[in-house]
Amino acid sequence: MTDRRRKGDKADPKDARRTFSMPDSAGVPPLGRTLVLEKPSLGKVIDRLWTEGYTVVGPTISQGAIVFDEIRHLQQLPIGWTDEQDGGKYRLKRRSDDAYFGYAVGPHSWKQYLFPSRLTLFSIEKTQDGFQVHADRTPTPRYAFLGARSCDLHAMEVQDRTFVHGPFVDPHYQARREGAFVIAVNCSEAAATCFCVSMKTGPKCQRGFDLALTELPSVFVVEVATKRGGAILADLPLREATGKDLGAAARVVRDTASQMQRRLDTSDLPELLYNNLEHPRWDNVAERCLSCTNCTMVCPTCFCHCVEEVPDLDGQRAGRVRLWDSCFNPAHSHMAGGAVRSDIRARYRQWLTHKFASWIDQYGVSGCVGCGRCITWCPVAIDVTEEIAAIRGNRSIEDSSQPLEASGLRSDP
Amino acid sequence: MTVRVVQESAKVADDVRTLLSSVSFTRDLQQVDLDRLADMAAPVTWRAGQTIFREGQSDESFYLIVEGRVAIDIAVPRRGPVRILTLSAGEVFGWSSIFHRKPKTAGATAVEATRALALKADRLRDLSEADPRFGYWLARRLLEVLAERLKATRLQMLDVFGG
Amino acid sequence: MSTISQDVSISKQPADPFWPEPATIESVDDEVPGVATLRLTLQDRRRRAKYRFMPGQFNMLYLPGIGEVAISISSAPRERRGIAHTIRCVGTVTRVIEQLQAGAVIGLRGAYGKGWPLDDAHDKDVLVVAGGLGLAPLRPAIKALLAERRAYGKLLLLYGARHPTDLLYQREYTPWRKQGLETQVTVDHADSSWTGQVGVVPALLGRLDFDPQRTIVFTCGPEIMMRFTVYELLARGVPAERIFVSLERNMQCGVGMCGRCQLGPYFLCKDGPVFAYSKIGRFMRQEHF
Repeated sequence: MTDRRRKGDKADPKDARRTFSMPDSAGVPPLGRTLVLEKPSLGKVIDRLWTEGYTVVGPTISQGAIVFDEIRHLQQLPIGWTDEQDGGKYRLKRRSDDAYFGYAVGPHSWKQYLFPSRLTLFSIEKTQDGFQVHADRTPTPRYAFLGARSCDLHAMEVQDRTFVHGPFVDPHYQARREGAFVIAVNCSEAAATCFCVSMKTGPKCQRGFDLALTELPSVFVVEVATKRGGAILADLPLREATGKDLGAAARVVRDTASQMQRRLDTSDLPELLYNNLEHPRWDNVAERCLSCTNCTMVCPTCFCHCVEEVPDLDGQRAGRVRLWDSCFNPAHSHMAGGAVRSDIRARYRQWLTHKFASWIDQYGVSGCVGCGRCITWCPVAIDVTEEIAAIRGNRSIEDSSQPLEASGLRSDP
Repeated sequence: MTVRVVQESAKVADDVRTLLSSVSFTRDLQQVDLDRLADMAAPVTWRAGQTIFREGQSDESFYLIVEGRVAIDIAVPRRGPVRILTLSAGEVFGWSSIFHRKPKTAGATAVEATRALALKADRLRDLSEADPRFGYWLARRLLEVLAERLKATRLQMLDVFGG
Repeated sequence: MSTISQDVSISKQPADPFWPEPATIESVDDEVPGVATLRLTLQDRRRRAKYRFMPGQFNMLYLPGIGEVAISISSAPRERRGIAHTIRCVGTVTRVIEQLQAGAVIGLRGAYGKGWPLDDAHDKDVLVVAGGLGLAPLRPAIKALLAERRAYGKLLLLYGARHPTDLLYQREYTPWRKQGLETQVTVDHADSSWTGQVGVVPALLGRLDFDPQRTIVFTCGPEIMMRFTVYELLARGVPAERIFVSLERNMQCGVGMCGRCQLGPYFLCKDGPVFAYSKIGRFMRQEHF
């Protein structure tokens, strides 16, 4: 058995080691097993999740992109589609096969479910003695995330550090996060904007899922990581993964890793950015950046938000509403006397420095998971890998001496 | 002069020399220069509220404050005199008199009972021209004082407490 | 570095950190033009008994239907007339606060932030340098220092404001002097009825007699004033580790999640607002950061 946890990881009680044994009498595969599932059976998994009260959300095509929405039927997945991405460019293209997950990530990330873009924190009602606070009665959905990629698994862990692992806990995020069922997928296609290998966040899914799927031509190789992950597969036509299956799955991951077209050297972060706050490159990027906030909207780890008071017309009732915000909005750094970051140069510098430097001091990990969304969805194709390299003074990214290292390849069975 | 008057002059001269070497502006001067300054210095006192010189007047002294507090003020129409700076022990004012006899651009008022040494400004100028070494020391020392005042004035100008 | 005096409030916070607790206004008193002190007490008796704060911390004050604002606590932990907040009334929320009457109920979240490191000051001389409204978050520290006078060496306060009518807490200067705080006050300019000092705080600091080797400094005021004060202190030989500043940025959530109050890697609401200059200096000096 391979140890998929890295040294120092907090042990998830659901991941308690079990000895290798046959499925128990209820037909539930024990933890830590790798199995093979016929692809159409995924539809049954989706049905079961809905029956158990989960809202299954996953990739589907809408408005020319692969976005997340409720998935009730397998056919809603972008079967046979792939994406072509580059700086400021996103196109869908038909594949020559019927792969269910043959694409990378789109503009959506799971943060829109865990950290909704608009959320009423509470409401108040004025009373004789002052005011009464009311919890928002909207029931917290139990999500099942279908098709979560390794970069996004890491992104959720990164956001956990903001909303759950600090001195204060956001109960709204925590409730959604704890309830979420995660079916991860090991990427079989890397987009041109992906650089998870550099950020050591993929392409292989390491942890943070109930099930992890690797897609082969007619089956999924399934890693069962939790009890409830195993339970959802009970009595489905499954068999043990053979050496051939595992080899094929490993090859998918290796191929994806070798498709990485972008690299980012992290070896001298955070100091590289702290020591270059007056680098001329900031002026250069400021001429291109529109401060449109797209990058922060699509970034799966960005958490900046604002809180607004929304009163009724008569002021007797009010809601306290949290909304996504962005450090690219001038009001974000507003103080008496004006905004601290009054120009685009200051705001872009804040975003990049926070993401790649300050984040490390704040949370112990980088804020970037190498998903490439910010590069794809930037209307002027600003590329963070290029910006960091420019500040470092590399002429081209190929000069970077950091070796490529696909995370997880060393833990092949 | 009677012996007694000579003795009193000598005593006053001693006091002036002591004061000159205790005031921070002149503290590091060599004895020979202290003696020459003592020769052109006289102790003065003002009571609380007393006008030392007015804006628009000319004044012939360069002052070293020994004890007390002096305010520099400028008359602002409809506001009256505005105190823009106060100075206390060890600090100097009236420096413009060393360079010219034009009218003062600000007034000086004793805020509390104050003792100072008044140095004859034109004799300071003559000494500086006759002895460039001393002249250089005086210019440098004044430059240091004025540089600090300029820095402080900039902060006042920024009105950091505004609004 | 002592952690005790810099801990977040020890009292148990409600489970949802965003929920405000009802607090009754005891009084709203004018201090100087445009500035008022609001005193309030928590409605819930158990929370009132458990509420604790350290000098330098702040509360989030919530006006239902209007909004929320972060205000430093300006009273000593054990004052009986309630928790005081000295507020400059210029914004949407603060201008409404100014009009509130005793008995009105508003919301409170807190106390948040890291306060002044009083424990680190034991057996040292303490120099407090305040400017304008910056005296408000230092007032609890001053009262705490005076309450335990013998634990400290020399205590000095250097306080500056724009004009004599803007000097905060004037009635307390004499009692403070009597209790052992050498107090010097200055203004940027004055009329002829003012017999005190006229001059900027950093300039007065240059003339102050103190031992840089024995002194710890707490300073709060407009950022420019603090910056020049720090330059003067460093020039005198006070080590950056012993200079503490209290910074201000736009605080919204107060609990380190909305991201607004960040300065470099620090969230002012939970890593500050009090910082050692040795830690925060490089980011404080950075323009537009």
